Amino acid sequence: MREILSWLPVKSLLRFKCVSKSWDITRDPYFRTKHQSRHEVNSQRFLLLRAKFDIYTSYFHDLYSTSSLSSLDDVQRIDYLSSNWYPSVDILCGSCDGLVLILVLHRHDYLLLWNPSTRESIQLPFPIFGIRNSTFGLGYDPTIDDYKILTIHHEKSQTQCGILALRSGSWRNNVDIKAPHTLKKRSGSCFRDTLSFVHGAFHWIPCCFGVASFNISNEVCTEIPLSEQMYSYLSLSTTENNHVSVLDGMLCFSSACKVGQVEKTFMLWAMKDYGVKESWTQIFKINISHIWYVKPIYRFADGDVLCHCGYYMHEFLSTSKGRFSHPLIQHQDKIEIITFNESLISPKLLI
Amino acid sequence: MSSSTKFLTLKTCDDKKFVLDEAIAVRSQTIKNMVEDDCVSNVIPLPNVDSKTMTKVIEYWKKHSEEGISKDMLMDFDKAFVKVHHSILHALILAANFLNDKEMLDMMCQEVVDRIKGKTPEEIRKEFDIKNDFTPEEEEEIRKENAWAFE
Repeated sequence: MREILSWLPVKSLLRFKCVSKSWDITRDPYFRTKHQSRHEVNSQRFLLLRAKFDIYTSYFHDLYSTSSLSSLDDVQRIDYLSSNWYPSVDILCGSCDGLVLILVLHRHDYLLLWNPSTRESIQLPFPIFGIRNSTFGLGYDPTIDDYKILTIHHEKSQTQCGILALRSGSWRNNVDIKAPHTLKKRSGSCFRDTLSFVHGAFHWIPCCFGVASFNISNEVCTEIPLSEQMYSYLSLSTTENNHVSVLDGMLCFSSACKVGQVEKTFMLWAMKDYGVKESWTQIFKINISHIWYVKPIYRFADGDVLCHCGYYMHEFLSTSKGRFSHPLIQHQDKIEIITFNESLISPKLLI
Repeated sequence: MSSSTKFLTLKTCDDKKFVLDEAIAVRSQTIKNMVEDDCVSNVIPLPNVDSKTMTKVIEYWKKHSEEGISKDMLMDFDKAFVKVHHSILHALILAANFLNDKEMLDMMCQEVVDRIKGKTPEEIRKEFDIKNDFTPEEEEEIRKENAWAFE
């Protein structure tokens, strides 16, 4: 029976808890692990945060979780986390094992670790540098069986780092990430900028060309080089807007740049074998006009990529076929989408 | 060597015998292990599977071993295959588990999950004949905790 139950979505499991005592198994660690391994591959869901600007309420948010961006069959509306009436701006910072890190910019800012499948959340210790002008990433360190959050803070041309291992309960500030100067994170980051976690390391765009990688376990910073073609292409560009992202479990590098007088071009490369410079493969090259900012979010089964785009104050979603529309995201002032896996991990038990 | 087809004889718990191409029977990891360990004499006993269930399992194995069958055809077959009464589905799961055919087991489990995931706790108790061993207060408490899951 447990074999079968481990296939159930979290929502059904929580509803079935009251069937009988033997069905109340969501707290059993063995079952949790089994459930997690089942759902790692097939049950990716999208978390969609939309906000509308309203003169009376300022920002108000709606949060949805859905298994598909093409149908409305499985959309769950999620009651908003902060029941505060005071308006806040929330940023979805990424997910790991079904846990989502959220920055809440509020009258009093705070950091939230949230499991959208069980809807359990905890407020995390507040970093000493605050959360504005900072970039965050969430990852799992298997060597100590703990989740870690890395933050890189920029202020007045100073860069500082902090690490929070959840079980330790407090931030280690002024962490020397032993990065050579050239791997320091490029400043001028916006809130949207997050640290991409894949293959046990956080990644960001450094001052030099390439990708900086920070290993979550030994906390050593190294450079992941780009391929020769990428270097030669990027060195010709005049303006640039580069991003690291993770698509299909692969580290990706994208650039929206202008080469000479040519129209602005969006290029996306994926590193098929992690750490192997020769394995960078071009996935996309499309012309874009009237877009300033492009950040890849998700790769569809047909290979097309969903991107978060910006132009002046407008934000919208786009694929290579043009603007991406979905009944849930029409006429919104602000949209954020991240992916997560269903999981029973309880944030409360992690600290 | 490969040209000669080897046959295995399987005997279910109700003493019915099934003669089956070895290449097909090794879809079962359990049978495969027995064949590889050379502990197959004449008849392989399947003490946990009855003949009615075994007939269904073999139907599934044969279809999935057919040469040149398209993915769409297999999908249609699978769809029709799982549309059975839940007592048969249950027997098939136990058989797939014993025979250790992961592909089949996963498919059957998915079917059960699709059938039950939208149900209420009351419907689950009825379907599986489960006795509610919570006190009304305890049940109320659990329901309140996850009220959103009942929407």
